[in-house]
Amino acid sequence: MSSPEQAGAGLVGQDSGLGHRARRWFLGRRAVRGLGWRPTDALSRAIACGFGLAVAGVLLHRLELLLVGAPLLVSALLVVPPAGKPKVRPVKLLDTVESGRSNEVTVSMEPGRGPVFAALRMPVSSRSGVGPVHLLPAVDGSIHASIRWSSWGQSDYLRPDHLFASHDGLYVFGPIVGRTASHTVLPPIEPLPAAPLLPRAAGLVGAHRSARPGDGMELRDIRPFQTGDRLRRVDWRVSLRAAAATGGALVPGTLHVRERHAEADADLVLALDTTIDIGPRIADWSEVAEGAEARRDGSLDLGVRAVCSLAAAFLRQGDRVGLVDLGHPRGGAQVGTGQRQLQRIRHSLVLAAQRVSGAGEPVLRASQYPAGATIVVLSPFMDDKLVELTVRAARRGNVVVAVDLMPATLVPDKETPWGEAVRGIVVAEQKVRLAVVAEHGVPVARWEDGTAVGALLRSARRRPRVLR
Amino acid sequence: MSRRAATEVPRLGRGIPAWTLRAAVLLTGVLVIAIPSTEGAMWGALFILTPTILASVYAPASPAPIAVVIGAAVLAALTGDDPLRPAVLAMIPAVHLFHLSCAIAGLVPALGRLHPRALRRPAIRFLLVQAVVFGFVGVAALLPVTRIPAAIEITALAGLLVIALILLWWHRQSNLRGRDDSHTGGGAH
Repeated sequence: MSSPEQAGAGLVGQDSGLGHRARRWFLGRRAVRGLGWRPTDALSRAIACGFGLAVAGVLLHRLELLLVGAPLLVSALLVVPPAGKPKVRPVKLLDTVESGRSNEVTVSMEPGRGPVFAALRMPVSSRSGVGPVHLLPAVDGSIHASIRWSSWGQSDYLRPDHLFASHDGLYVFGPIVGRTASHTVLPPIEPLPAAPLLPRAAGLVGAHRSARPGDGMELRDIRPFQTGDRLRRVDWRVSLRAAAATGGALVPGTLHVRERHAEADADLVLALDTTIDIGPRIADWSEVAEGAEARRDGSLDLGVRAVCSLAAAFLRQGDRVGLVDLGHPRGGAQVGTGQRQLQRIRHSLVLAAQRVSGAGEPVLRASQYPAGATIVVLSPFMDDKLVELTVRAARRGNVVVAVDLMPATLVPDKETPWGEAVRGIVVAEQKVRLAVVAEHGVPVARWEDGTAVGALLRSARRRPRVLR
Repeated sequence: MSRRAATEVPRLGRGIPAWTLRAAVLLTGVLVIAIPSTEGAMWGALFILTPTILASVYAPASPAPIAVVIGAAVLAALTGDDPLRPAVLAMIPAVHLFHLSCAIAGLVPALGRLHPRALRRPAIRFLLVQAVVFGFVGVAALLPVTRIPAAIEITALAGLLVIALILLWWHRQSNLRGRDDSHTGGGAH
């Protein structure tokens, strides 16, 4: 037998259960109201004003009231409430696209019976993103919109939000939020003249001539036969001439072999500073850019374009190229060759650009690049730590080239009287850092079109390496 | 009844800015003010209609346009005796245009894009409705101006009431049917 307290508790529980069910029913009704076709304020206006003015006109004996409201009344009487379920289906594009190219986005529309207007969000070619809402006639078929990818990075290109409306907007279906389609726009590759790199000493095969003898194609020397030389290397023409000079007998010392240079591969490591992204306006440096895109014309944008161009140029001539993400040691790409390596580097760059936080220390360990690799450090050199890392890499015996990504002209902050002074200090400090880097035998160049960097690499090839 | 144009496959152009629809609301609103002003209702029209027109421009899908329509009708009734004078005849399409521009402007954000071909069918329908209304005007002009018996007035009111009830019932049934057809969520994908 239950106690009164238990009975009371059960009653309370029953009440709360009923209340919960009533609340669910109410919320369900409210949710259903938002689905399907529903009347709008325009229909309420047409019916209320049309009938209201007609009744008022009859009661007050004023024909004007009836006539002014008549179009609204007729409009409401003529409308047929639409039925069915309009459908919008986007046609998905590739997940990865090239920057600077254009394509077409297609959305197929099935408005069903009744809709006259279709408000559809579609991209436009003049700006990136999912685009504005377009008011279109509701027709069966596909709608094509041109889209152009002017900036690289991870971006949304289509979200077909839609709303359908009947005649005079008296009934609407929606608005319905479409599914967002995003893709990766790879950074552009600008044509760049490739410079010869230092061959990697440990390489057995490759595209570059090594200083040591080997099995390559290029002739190094013709010398007398020694023990261990292969017979197929014997130069019979020279040997017979030498034999003829000594009386025609092939005695020891007359046999000569052709010695060839070894062919070695070259490693190029592109180390990009992703700890910071600065543009020409100093006042904007403290702001974190919205979205995943890098700051337009900022140091990171410039650096990413430079890395892409350098990687493409050197991979094309058969070198091994890798990427070091200075801000995130786990990022980047190990050295490799071929077109797939180029795509790997470009994808890594897009990911690296998403992680720029404006904080953190750069990292460049010896384990991140092969011994003997040529290292190109691309950075605006705003951090002393980066100078230390660059110099340390040069001391390890690598050929290191520094590429300055600082914007050519810095605009001081106008809102503070210290703006010009701050600009002067920033520029002076950066000059000192670059001077320190240059003092340690690391050539420095600004990134313009890659010609200067190519010249630096050529001069670095001729320059003897000094271990300090 | 809508007619589907299955053969038309549009390529999306730039269109024109959708704020032109808000400008159309403002323009037709100014027209609604200007017409009674010609009959001496300048300040009345300005005081009554200007705030509601501005509210309609800001929020076309709101109750604000109702006030404009009723205000315009009241001003038309108060500023003259002849129910078929030119000001009233001009007010009929002006108010209808205002109602229509508000209805269409409420469908698209002000920063959206408007493609003029979307307005072709509404324009035809507008002309059709105006033709019907001016047919009524023609009939009203032909009728003799005499006192109407009370029985006919009551019959007219009852008829209006019946039409209104039938219309409401019809819209409600169609609305419920439309929800049943699309109760699966209306997802686009």
